[in-house]
Amino acid sequence: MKKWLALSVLALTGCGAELERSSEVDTVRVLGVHKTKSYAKAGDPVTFSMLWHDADGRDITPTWFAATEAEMDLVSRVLESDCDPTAEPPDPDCECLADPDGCAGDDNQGERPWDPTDALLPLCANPPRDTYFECLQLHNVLADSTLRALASKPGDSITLNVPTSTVHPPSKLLPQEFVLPSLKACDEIGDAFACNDPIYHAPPDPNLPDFGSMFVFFALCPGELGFQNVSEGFGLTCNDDKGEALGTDDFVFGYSQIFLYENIENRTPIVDGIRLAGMDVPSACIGPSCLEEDDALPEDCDGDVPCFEVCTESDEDDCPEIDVKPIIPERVSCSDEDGSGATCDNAEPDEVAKIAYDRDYDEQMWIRYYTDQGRMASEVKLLNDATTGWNDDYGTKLRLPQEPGPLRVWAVVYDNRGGQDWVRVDAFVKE
Amino acid sequence: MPRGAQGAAVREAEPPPKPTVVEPELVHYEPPVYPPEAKAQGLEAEVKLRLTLDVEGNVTAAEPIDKVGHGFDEAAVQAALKLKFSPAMVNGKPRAVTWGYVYRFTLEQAEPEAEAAAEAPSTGNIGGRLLVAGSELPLAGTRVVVRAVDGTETSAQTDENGNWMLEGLAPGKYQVSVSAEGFDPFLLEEQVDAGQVTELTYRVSPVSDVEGAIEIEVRGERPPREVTKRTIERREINRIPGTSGDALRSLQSLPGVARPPGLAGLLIVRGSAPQDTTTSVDGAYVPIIYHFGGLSSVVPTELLDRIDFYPGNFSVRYGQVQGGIVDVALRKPDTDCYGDYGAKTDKKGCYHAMGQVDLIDGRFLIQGPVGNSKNWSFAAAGRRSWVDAWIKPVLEEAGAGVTSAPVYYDYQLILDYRPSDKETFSTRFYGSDDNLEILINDPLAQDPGFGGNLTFGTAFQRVQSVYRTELSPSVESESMIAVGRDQVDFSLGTFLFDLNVYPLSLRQEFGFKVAKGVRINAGLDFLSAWFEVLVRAPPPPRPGEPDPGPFATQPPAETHTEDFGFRPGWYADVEWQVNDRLRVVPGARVDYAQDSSNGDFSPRITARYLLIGENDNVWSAPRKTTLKGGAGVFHQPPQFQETDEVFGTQELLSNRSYHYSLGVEQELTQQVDVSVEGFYKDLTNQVSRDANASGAFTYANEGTGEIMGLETLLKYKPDERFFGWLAYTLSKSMRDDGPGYPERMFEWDQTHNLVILGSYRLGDGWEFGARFRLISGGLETPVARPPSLPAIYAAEAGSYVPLSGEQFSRRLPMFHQLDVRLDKAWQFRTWRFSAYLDIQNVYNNAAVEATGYNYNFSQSTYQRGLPILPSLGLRGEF
Repeated sequence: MKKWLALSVLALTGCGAELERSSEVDTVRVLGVHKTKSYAKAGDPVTFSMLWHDADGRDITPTWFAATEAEMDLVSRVLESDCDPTAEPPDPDCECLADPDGCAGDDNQGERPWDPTDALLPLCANPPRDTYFECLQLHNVLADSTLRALASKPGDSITLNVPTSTVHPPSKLLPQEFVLPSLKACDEIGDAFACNDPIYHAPPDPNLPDFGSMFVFFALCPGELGFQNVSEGFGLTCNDDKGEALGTDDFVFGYSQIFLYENIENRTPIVDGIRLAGMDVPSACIGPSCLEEDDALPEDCDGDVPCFEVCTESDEDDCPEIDVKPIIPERVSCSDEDGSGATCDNAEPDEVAKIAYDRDYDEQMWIRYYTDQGRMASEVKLLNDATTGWNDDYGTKLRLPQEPGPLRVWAVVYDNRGGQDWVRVDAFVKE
Repeated sequence: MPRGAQGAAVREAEPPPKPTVVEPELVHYEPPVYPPEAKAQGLEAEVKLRLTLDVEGNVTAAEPIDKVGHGFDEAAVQAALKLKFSPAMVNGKPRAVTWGYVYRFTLEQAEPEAEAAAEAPSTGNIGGRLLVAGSELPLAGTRVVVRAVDGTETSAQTDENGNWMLEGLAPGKYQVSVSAEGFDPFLLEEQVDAGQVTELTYRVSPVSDVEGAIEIEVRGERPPREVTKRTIERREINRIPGTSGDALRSLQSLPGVARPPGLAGLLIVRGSAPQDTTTSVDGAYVPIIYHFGGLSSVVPTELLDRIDFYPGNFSVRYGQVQGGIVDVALRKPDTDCYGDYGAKTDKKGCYHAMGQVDLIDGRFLIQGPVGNSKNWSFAAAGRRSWVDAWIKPVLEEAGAGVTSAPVYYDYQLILDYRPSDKETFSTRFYGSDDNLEILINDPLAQDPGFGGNLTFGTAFQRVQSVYRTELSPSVESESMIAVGRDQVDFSLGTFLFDLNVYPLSLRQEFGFKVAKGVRINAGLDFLSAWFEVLVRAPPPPRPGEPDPGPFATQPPAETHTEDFGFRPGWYADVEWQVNDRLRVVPGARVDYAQDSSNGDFSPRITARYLLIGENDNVWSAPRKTTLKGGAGVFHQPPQFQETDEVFGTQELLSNRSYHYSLGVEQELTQQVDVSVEGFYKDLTNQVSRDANASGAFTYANEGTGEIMGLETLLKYKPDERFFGWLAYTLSKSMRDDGPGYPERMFEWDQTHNLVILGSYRLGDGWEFGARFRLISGGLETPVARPPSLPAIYAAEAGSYVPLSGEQFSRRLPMFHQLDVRLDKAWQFRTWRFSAYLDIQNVYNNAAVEATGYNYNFSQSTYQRGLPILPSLGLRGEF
């Protein structure tokens, strides 16, 4: 009866054809980005780790767009020389790309904002109104293949340094709000550069504490990155071996953002494991450790590999379901120095809301479920509501597949302040 | 549609030369056919008709004055159309006139018993009351002549109350005629029976163009002060298919009103944004007009008298709005008495009650006199949805925890005092309440910010008094005051919106008849409110900017404001009947908005010119052709959030719009009119958003726009059988968000909008109606095209953010839909039961409402609207 009523209401509300669901991983997918700090302060190192999967099993290395200080200096020199990297025929002002010391830049006006170190910086910090969209004009440097190569850092993870200030290179071509990050304080930098520090700025709402923002862009491309001038959207492409641009099922371009506060921290959500069909799965991996695990899928029901029988029903909707529920404690150990063993809520209080408006909100938390076989009943489940609190009904069900073989399940836990962690489990479906 | 009547002013007339009038005389009598069903039931009736005679004495139209039902009206009309009279003559010229006539349906009586016959009276009496048509004004001192079949005449004079009586007449048929100065001659055939008093009430119509006649103004029949005023009558409101009898939904069938998506209760009028049109109840602003944004309107249809809709170029009476006006009028409580089987009588002082249930809600209404008072009456009504009874398990099945299922209430109480036709006083209390609370356990995959605890509630209450009176024969006054409370509260996770407003609305308007054909209206309206608003939300994006990313991870800003605002307006206009063809209404309005510190001056002018009068003998039958036009300035203060110190920018000017329109109204037949009107709106100083030098968000008055269109309305005015119309609007609405932004289509632009509807009384309580709509699809912004990716991955929410293509550059497929409605009423002796079946989307067209995408925008599909949707209602009333 309930199902009939639900279907009736869905019919009445009007639907379209069913589309691919986010929980079904059958293309190139980024499933999560873990950060060692989702709230950080100036100068902090932060490691970003990507959880990704390619259903076709291609050998892909994620690319992060960041620059060493030395490279940032080069980028700045190119911009200061009013070089147009996309010009056809090539802009002679861009010759300094081959000879950085030959680039324009008046060394007599004080220090450059960057030192020749390998410390990595994000390309974008404190964009206007702290939106990712404003960062894309910075990433137009990716239009030039040389700069793009410079700024591309391969790997499943990357460690960046939170800038201390932002500077505006002296260039006629740059919009007024265009800035580059720097690890130096403004009083160390020459007058040629307009400079803002500290990295935290006053928000539009004066009640809010000063904060900054930092964006790290990345790409997951099984081919070769390229760039085309486009009239809408963004021009970064991923080209196959024929030079054709791949679509969004085979190429992911995205960003991860962290907020910068002097004195406010945010702990990552804590996940302890996962249960399938009500059983603990000891072989599951949690968080960045999943990146170091052998990615090989199980070939049989051996050892600790959870094992299930294949669905033999002709209609997928009649296949049996198993419960999937990560083990997420409502209470966790607080980080304390005196070893008192105190516990805190996994869903932390929202300190910013408390400081600014004296509101006792918790973090809003949710879980995304993914699988490469079968079908998840829910794509997203609420874990903690900011006002009503913990929701223990955060598990979902997985409908077993109709084909035998390995089965991989992920559960990624989020809080609404950028904190993220995950658990992954491999199972096997036997005949 | 504006009525064709020409208004005039009461004045002291100099003694006019008496017109020479020769009444029409019956030259051919056509007997009516007795309705078989009525005859079988032994029913008798008297049908009084208003006949229209042409210059040759032919009956061109016949309309029952008071319907009696059971087929009598139709039989009388059918026969009356075959009557033939000699032409009425006025000053020697044949004239078209309105004439009264009565058909009496009587069954043959059994022969009285012999012993009773000796005592039966041999004479009868005849008399009654004479009133001015369309009013309760008595016609005193008027001679009533009663002529027997043999030509002998007797006469009587009406007293100060319009009463007259003649006694001792021999039984038989008589001709009763009335001939009064300045009024159309009147003749009826009546029956006098022995031992009985034949009592009748006659209403005579004033002569409208006889030179030197006294001019009488009848309230409510003055032409509108606006270029276009569309009025939907109760008969139409109740029967338009596809609206489930919901009054405010019927507005979407009018020209100039665009169709909103799905069930959304938005009014998009002549290419203007929904927030540019306001709705009021008898002049008092109400914050919402639909429950839950579109389910049903907050005032039930049964309590409405009419809806007046001004799509643009409205008079100075309304201000601080640049789109359109919807003014809903509550009805006077019904105290009319009805005889057996619903036959209307002249008696008053009776009570009525109604109960109705349909798929969504149940409602009741009681009305009647207050005690034994003739002047006081009341109406009380209430409604409650019962969707919560069945939707809770459905929501739970879909993964939501239901704390409080969606439910709405509305309630109304009206107290009315009418000591005379010149004075009315009405006090009302009404309100509405919607609320729900659900826990969304399965947040939206595309934005997990839409998950968690959702609460939504809106409520408003009003106490309102309206007082209209005639202070003197040349001065009228209308006063309105309303106080109340509005409350909106919404929360989802950490986002919230909480608004409390305590508004006070006032209006005082005087109408002065300063000379013949000149009336000055002057007034003041005033809206003040103490308000408290708390908003916690991310700032909205700039125009043209792509999606700013999932709400889930956007840090909200919060603003809490308590303040007091007031917006007074002063206005005056002159209704000037320059001559018998030209009417001009110039006016001006001054408004002040304290919240934005803006004063605005808005001059306006409208005009109507009777190009061809009904007596100009241009057409084959008397038909009027009227040209109409207008121009004016309209200002609208910025929205609250646009001047808020956190979210907006202070020191903004009001939005400004120049309206121009030109049109023609043509009477095609007695029942059919056609109206064609072109309109143009030039928008300037529109509030737009942009980034300032430091990248923060500011508003400015740099937006502009242009709207143009053509509206056509072919209307069959309601008669005893049928009403209907064809409405077609062709329009284009463009916007420009400021220097540096390209001109774009307005997001609610709909090029073509065609509505054809009608409802026909089949007889025996059956009525069938249909509505067909063919409307351009809505506009949407597509995602970026290759080689760009369509979306970018936002790691903090785990979802994709679309990269936008050209704003509002893609139009969805055309919308078309057929709705039908079938009504059946059973009239019992003392009560009436009715049922309706309203079926929306009869041929199950899968209309496209939007484009939906999968999680990474690599796939898209059309989101379809509602399939075939039947709605059944049952009502009992007496």
